[in-house]
Amino acid sequence: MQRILQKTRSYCTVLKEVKKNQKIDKPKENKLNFTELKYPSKVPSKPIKQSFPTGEKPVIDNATIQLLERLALVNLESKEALSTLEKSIEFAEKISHIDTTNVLPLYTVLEDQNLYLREDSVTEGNCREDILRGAKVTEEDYFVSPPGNIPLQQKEKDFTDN
Amino acid sequence: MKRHLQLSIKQLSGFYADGSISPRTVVDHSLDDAIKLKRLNAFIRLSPEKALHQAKESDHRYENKEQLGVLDGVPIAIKDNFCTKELTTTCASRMLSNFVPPFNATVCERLANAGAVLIGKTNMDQFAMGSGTVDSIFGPSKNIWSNDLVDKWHIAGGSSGGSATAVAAGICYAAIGSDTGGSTRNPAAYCGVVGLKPTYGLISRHGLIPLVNSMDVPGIFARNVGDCLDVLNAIAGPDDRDSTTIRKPFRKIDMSFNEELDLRNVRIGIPKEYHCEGLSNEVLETWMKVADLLEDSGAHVHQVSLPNTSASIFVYSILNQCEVASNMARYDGIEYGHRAEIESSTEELYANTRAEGFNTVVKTRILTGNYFLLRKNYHKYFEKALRVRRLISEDFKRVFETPKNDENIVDVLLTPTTLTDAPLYNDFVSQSNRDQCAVQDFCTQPANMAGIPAISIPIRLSKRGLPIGLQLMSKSLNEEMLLRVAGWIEQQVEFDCLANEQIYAARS
Amino acid sequence: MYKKLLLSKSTSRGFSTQIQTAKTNLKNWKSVVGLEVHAQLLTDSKLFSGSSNEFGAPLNSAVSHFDASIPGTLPVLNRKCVEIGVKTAIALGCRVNEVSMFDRKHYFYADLPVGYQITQQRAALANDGELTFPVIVPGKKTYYKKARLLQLQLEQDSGKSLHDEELKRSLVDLNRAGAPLIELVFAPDLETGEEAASLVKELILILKSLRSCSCKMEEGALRVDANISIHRSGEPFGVRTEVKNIGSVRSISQAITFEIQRQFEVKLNGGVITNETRSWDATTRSTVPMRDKEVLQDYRFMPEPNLPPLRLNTSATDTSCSDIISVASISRGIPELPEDTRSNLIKKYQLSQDVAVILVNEAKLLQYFISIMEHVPGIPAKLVTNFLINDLLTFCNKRNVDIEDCQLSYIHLEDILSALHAGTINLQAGRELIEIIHENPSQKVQTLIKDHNLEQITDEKMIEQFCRQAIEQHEQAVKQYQSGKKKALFAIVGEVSKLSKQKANMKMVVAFLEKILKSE
Repeated sequence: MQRILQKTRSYCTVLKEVKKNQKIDKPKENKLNFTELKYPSKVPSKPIKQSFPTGEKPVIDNATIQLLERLALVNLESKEALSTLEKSIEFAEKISHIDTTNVLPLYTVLEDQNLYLREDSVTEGNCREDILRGAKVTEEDYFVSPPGNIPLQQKEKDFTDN
Repeated sequence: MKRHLQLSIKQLSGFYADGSISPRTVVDHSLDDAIKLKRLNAFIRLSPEKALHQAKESDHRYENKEQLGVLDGVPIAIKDNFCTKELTTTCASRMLSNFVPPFNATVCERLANAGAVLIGKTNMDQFAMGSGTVDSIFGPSKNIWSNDLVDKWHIAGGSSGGSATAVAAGICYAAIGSDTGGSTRNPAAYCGVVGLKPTYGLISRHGLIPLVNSMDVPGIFARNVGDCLDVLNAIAGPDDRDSTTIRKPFRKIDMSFNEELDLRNVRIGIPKEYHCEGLSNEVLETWMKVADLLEDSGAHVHQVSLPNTSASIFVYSILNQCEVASNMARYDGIEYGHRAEIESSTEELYANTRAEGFNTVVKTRILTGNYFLLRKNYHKYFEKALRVRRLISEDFKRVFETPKNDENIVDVLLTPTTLTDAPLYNDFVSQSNRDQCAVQDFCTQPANMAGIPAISIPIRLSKRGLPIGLQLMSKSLNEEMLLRVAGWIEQQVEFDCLANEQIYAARS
Repeated sequence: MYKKLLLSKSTSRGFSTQIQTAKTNLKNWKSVVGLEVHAQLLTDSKLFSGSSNEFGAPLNSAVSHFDASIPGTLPVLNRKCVEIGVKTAIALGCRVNEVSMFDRKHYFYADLPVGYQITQQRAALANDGELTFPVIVPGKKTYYKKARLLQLQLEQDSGKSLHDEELKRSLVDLNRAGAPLIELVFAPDLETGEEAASLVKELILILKSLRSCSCKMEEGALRVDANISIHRSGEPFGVRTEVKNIGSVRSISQAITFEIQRQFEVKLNGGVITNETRSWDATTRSTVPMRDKEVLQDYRFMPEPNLPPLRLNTSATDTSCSDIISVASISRGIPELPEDTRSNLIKKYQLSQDVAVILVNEAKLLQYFISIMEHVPGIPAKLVTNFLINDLLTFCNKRNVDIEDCQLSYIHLEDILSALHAGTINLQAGRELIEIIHENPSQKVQTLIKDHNLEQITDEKMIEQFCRQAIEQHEQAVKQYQSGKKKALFAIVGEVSKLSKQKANMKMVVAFLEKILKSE
């Protein structure tokens, strides 16, 4: 056993047997002195400040809120949520000043790879049980949904301070 | 201290082979530890029956000398956004709290085929949105290095905090997380373990419930670089079911540690922009020291510049929210997941299901993303972000491959992982989710933009006794170089992630 | 229900008189029609998943995890879909793009489980094609029309939802979700319903010969939506409406014609045409609004991140790279297209344009023609086409039988036409044979001619006899003929035909009568 343990990597600091109820010694002092450097550091000693201009504060009107809620089917529930949305947009504005003339969008880092094509054969499906199992409501092998094409009832949002 | 926990995966496997320990025993201990350390809240769900069954089978294999490889019988954990057949996969959300996938993610399949034993699914930020593992319906995960696990505890980091803290606490030997903007490296740094984000496309995402499809990568947690490599070798490689995997066949990396790495052939780059505002003195000191160590041992260390670094968080924020808006469109309650009671119309049902099933963070990102994707806004935000993304990616290409004029070409970049050691939970939650991410993800997120591999390794403990880690990055598919350099640093700093009072206190 | 029908019929009748007035008042107005066609591809599996693309599978059985939008599943593109898309694009004169990409088009609907459709919006498979096709309008000369094909793109089909009015819910079957479609977007180059129907007929011929699509509109394999607007000559295009739910080729012409007229009517009454979607109602033969209010829709297109760009080899020279599909080699595999078939027929057999169009429109008829021309040497093409079109096709139409299901074999028709050509039988006998064979397809023509006594009477003495008999019975007609009314002869000829039980050789009869009556 000892021989095997000796062959282990030096990373494993505790090589001796430790009894069950014995507390381990305090963590070893770092043998490295982190304040001592031998060479002039390549790490800049001061932070590199990069400023991003603060643009206009975005204004989201009620029409836009209603549109977003309908398109996303998620409700903007409170003043905080609206404020988060506005802040996120303000955040996003910060890249608008960056010069991207003649720079193409990078849709995927694999843009140079050819899209893999699958052979045309039936290899999946025939698993109706799997497919229906997760659904809370089914009816004789169908999924069930309420009638569609009824527009969402939307209320005007009042996030004023009253 | 349980003897077996001091071992690396290869050593453990060796002891299994010669009969000194059995997989069954080790897995038993693992499950035991998981229960004893419940207050860490590392796990959403344990899978004891499955684990013991797998352990038994592993036992048989070793007995008959038919072991599957170095991972056979090794306890591991998987983040709860990877689909596991017959085991709930919740993404820490109400929406999927009862979702049982009908298939296994490729990563899970490959690990099972290698004989690894799944202890359970780990906690995370809801739908992987966050960098603290504090936004989960199952409660936050705690950092095992905290002095106090009751009310003044530190966060585990996120969004794969559960996996990180589980490995740091010695409950399992390795764990799988996901990394979209630093979600593996961030908690790895906070919890003092190794966290690897491989090259985008090296590991299949089939079965990984996506956050940002163009940046997500399955991540690996382990206690040392060698273990990390063992897991990587088991799961990497193309998958026909994922069109974004790199088609080139994966050749397993073999790093026999008897070979000393000759640092004179290694060029290290220090990107100056990574010293940003908010970087703590201790992290800065750590960074400087390790750079110095490398230089002292013969490596060429140069300062380089990645000018578009600070734009990265803004780009990430836009792309993230747009993809979220799209990826979350499928949650309507009809085919799976939570379903609201209101049935007046499809739109009402969907809206209510989503209101009940998602937390505020998710909802706000969906709305913002939809705003950016509106026809009138598309070019201004989304497309603009993609252009800047290319600039960021080209920054890396320049330093790794095609430097301009008298710029230096480098093999590996050395930077901090996080700006500080793990914050206190109470401090962390006082900030908004977006601000938290913006600050914490500064150093990790550019690697996801470019799809390059990155690893965080623990270096030392801070004055408050919390781990500090550093990050290494390299060009695509250069994992071997990355791991070699990481392994070298690891040997120099001798950080023992299990030398932790909390673990003993919990076990006794 | 009946009352409703009555009401609508009377309204439409009143409507058509109004149309007449409308037409005269709106002489300077033009109508503009643009078509969007969706065609389901003939492949075994779906566009992005390996589940079956078969029509009519049991509920939710041809659905993979990906089709059901189970989280964590990813799309993988079917090679055959790309090949069919490229083949179709080439046949329609398009420029096939070397690089094309996929996008997500977002909207919520019960039959779209994932909340978006994967389609190609910004960089489609092919662009800038055109389709030139014959337009047959009864009573008018056949002419050729050209429509530009703006874009050809690959995209997913949605599932199907059944609306249960009683229980106020929809039942969803995802078998069709993810099935492969190509969408063909035509420029608004057409003007009438007939042109639109003709375009679709030509398109069907092409797609069928390429084996791209079954084109069975009744199964939804081919769907046509029409964008229609009107404007005053010289002014920009007017507001357009979209007409959906057109279930057959015939309906295309009807629906578009109706909509154009409806728009004229609105304009005539001083109204305004709104940009809306309307549905073709085949029962009331009218277009009705589909939604009460056109809701503002923003599809928030976004590139599909799980599918890197699709690359094709567009060079003329083949490279042996099997990874990428070669456009040139697909091009070589394209069969003869309908227009080429037509011009070849016209060239080879000196057929008229109209006849060539009809033959090519009915594949079976064309096959009959070719085989008869091959096996009956010296037979004039006109004789054959006349018989096939005027007699065989008419018979099938009358009996409501599809020409494809016609019971007459090639041999039967060859024998009939040989007999006609040889003068053994006359046209009337030929018609009778069609009827008889349709009931007893096992019989041989020669046998039937004998058994049913269908041989033509060519004996001069007998002809003379019949003629004289007829003359006696039609003194009035004789006088009229002799006084210059040439048409009066037909009455006498008709009598001869009756007397001879339609077996007299008409040519001889006419010649004889003319000779006799002139001399007398």
